[in-house]
Amino acid sequence: MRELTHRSITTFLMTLPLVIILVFFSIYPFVSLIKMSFSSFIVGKGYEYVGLKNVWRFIEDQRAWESIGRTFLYVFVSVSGEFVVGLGLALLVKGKFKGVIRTMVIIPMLVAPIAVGIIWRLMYDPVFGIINQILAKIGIQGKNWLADPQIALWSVIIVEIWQWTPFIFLILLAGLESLPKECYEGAKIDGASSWQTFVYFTIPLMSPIIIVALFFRTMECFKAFDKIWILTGGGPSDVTEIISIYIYRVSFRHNLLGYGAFLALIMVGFIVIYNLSYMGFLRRKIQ
Amino acid sequence: MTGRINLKKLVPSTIFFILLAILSLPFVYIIMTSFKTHLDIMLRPILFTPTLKNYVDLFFTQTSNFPRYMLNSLIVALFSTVFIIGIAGLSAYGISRSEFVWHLDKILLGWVLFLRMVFPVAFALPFYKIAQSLNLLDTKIILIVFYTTINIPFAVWMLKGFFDQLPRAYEEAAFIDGCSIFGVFWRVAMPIISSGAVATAILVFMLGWNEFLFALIITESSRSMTLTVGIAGLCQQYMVEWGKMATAATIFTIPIFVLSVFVQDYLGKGLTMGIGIKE
Repeated sequence: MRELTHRSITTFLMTLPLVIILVFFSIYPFVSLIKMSFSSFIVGKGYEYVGLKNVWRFIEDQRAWESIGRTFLYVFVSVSGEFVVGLGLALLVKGKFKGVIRTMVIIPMLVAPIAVGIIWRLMYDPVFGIINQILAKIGIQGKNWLADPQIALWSVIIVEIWQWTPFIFLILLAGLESLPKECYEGAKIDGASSWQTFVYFTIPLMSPIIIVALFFRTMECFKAFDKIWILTGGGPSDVTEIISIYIYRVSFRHNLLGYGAFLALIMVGFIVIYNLSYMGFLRRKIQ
Repeated sequence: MTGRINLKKLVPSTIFFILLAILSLPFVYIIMTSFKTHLDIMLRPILFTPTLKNYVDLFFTQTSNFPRYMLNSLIVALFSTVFIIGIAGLSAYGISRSEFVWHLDKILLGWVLFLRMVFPVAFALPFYKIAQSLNLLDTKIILIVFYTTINIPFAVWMLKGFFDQLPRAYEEAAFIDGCSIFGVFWRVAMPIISSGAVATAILVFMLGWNEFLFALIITESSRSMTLTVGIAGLCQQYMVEWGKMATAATIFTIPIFVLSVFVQDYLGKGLTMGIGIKE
């Protein structure tokens, strides 16, 4: 018994470095974020408490609301696109092409968003970019993909889908390949069409994995910053300015550090609610 | 009948290879562009005479800070990886093997998970303030500290997953032989999960190597500027000099290409932090 307590004290001590890091570099920053949210940064004076001023500012800030709406649109379209393509791809290659080819598929998501941004910026170039050159060869007038306010957001979404479809693909493929084969054979014997097998069988069995994949992809997608920063920097005329870009601009370009902190706090609050609801959902699913 | 079977096999493969081409052609394009002169970029999309001029310009010009940025990135990513694996290894083992009171381990894990989910931008402001008050703006040290903090959650969850799968019989045997729990951790548990730990280290290294936002706000000069920020600056500076940008992107990406081979088996698990994904 004494041995056990001794051991659990040691294991607790082992987690101590982590706890110290968490306190200094996550709890403290979090508290300081809350403090900053209710103050204004004034050059020379530092942070001054301003009460709810940032809240009123936010309510009246149309640009902030627009960027939040745009973020949801960006995340929704990107994740849906990734899901549809990723699922299709996973169904196609189930049980085939093992090895090197699969490694090739996952490369886009490992490459830095910065590099991906540069690659696509060159490809999207209206004059020398490969996309418009190909389009010109087949007689289609190319577009100014990143500078046209009508399509810039969609161009950016395409890059997001390109980079992260492999993620959904990888997870769904692992799920599909772990489904029991006997059930499929049984369904075949009973004369089920492949569509019926898919709807009544694959989807329900796969649903936990699908939910996990979508949850993580959505979460990561909300954090997007680097790629858009390189591709458009939020432009043209703010049409690709999602919330993280807006927060960065407010804080570090316009030096409104207090207001930037308040916006950041709102997004953190949103993420907390999103996570809790997901966890609740998972728990109910398990029960 | 045979024709139909062939068609059934052929169509999915064709679609798959088309998609594979779409996924990989951008990389081929960027690598090709990096070997082109300015004139070739404009006039010859496919057939051209390769030149190393862009590489020479980036690496061996007096005014180019590129090698410096590369070294900074390497130092920051490498040191943060070492700290992360050390700290996360210890604590993941502790969490995996302990019987904490009041679900302290669950609270700890939950907090770590939450850290991973938060917008990096939300941390950017307080981190900037911390760096400022410690007088460590524009240094590699503070970048290493921040990278360690933001990437540690990932490593903790991944390593905990490996330790959880480890049968306790090995460790019990070592305990009976009189090994301390640190000894067991270091001599028994770590060596057994070493391949998983290496994969975790590589992924964490990639996260550090690819990071942009914190480097953007913390670094100002070539003293600490990492490759990501350097390239982004290059992007604004030389928007016309495509060859250089393509070269920078290529060099930046090559380590990732090489390392990705080693981590592919752990990727799905790693990116979802092992939640709900079975082996």
